[in-house]
Amino acid sequence: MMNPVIRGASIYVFLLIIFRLMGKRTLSEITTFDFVLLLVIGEVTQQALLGNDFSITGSFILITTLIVVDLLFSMIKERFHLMARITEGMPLIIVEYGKPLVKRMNKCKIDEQDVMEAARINLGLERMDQIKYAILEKSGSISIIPYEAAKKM
Amino acid sequence: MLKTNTMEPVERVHPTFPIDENIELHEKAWVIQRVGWAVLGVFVIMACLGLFGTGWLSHARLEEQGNVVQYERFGRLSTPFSMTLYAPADDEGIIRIRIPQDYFSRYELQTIVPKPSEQTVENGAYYFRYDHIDQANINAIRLYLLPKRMGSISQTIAVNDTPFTLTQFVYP
Repeated sequence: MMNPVIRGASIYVFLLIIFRLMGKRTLSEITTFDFVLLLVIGEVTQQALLGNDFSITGSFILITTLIVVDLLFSMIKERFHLMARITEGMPLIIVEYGKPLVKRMNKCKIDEQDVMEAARINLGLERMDQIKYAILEKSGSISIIPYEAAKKM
Repeated sequence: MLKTNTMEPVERVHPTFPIDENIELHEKAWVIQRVGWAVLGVFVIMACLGLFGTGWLSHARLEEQGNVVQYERFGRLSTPFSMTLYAPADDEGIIRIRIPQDYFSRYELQTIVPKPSEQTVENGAYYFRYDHIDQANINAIRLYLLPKRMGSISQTIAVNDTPFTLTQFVYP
């Protein structure tokens, strides 16, 4: 049986890489199926983490390992800005002056409907030409800067 | 959605507000992401083929003098697998199997079916002996094994004194 610390740390790094490769949009717009898929991934991860070790000590070791690895990563990200950009991504402008930036949107697998949905939900906007900037944020959500808000600034 | 060439550079913008958007880094990340998807695809294909156990690449069959050993080249830690031996009984109706003790330091023998008539340990090896074998009733001996340690192992077992060298690798 592999050491629980190595097991926990390697699963943390594997999940970090795999979710980064999936892209930020993939899990930000969770459908019912995505939710079920996440639960299945959680279940598989749990089995890989615990194996046959159901002891309290084993769970203490694993929880502590995951928290310590997470702390280490946050310290590294704080110290090295590039690391934060690599692991968390960066915001990306996808609409400029009412014009969708199609190449950028294609790279992130989002379309104009996603932008308009965010514009309707957050600001009640009706048309693309009312949007000055749309930004795909690090979290995967789309933030909208309408023309009026830009004028107030 | 309009399709664009993946290698084509994306639009450059000049926002009127501060934003931490490093488009060169974004472009590098997209390339790495595409490569990562390809790696994930290859990983799944290789897993289907049996590179990580249970499949065409993993399944091995050795045959000599009528004795056959079927085993898995690749295993996974704490995941059981089976090894099947096909051995003809000699004139006295006896089948003999020899497995080095070192082999069982890497794999835990969970069970052996059918149970041997006699099981002894001599000269660093386990000997399993089947007496009065009616070949019509026994055509295969199955060992159910649980990998205890990862890494590669190469061991020689013997079925009716015929040696077979098994080379296996256990993934974490």
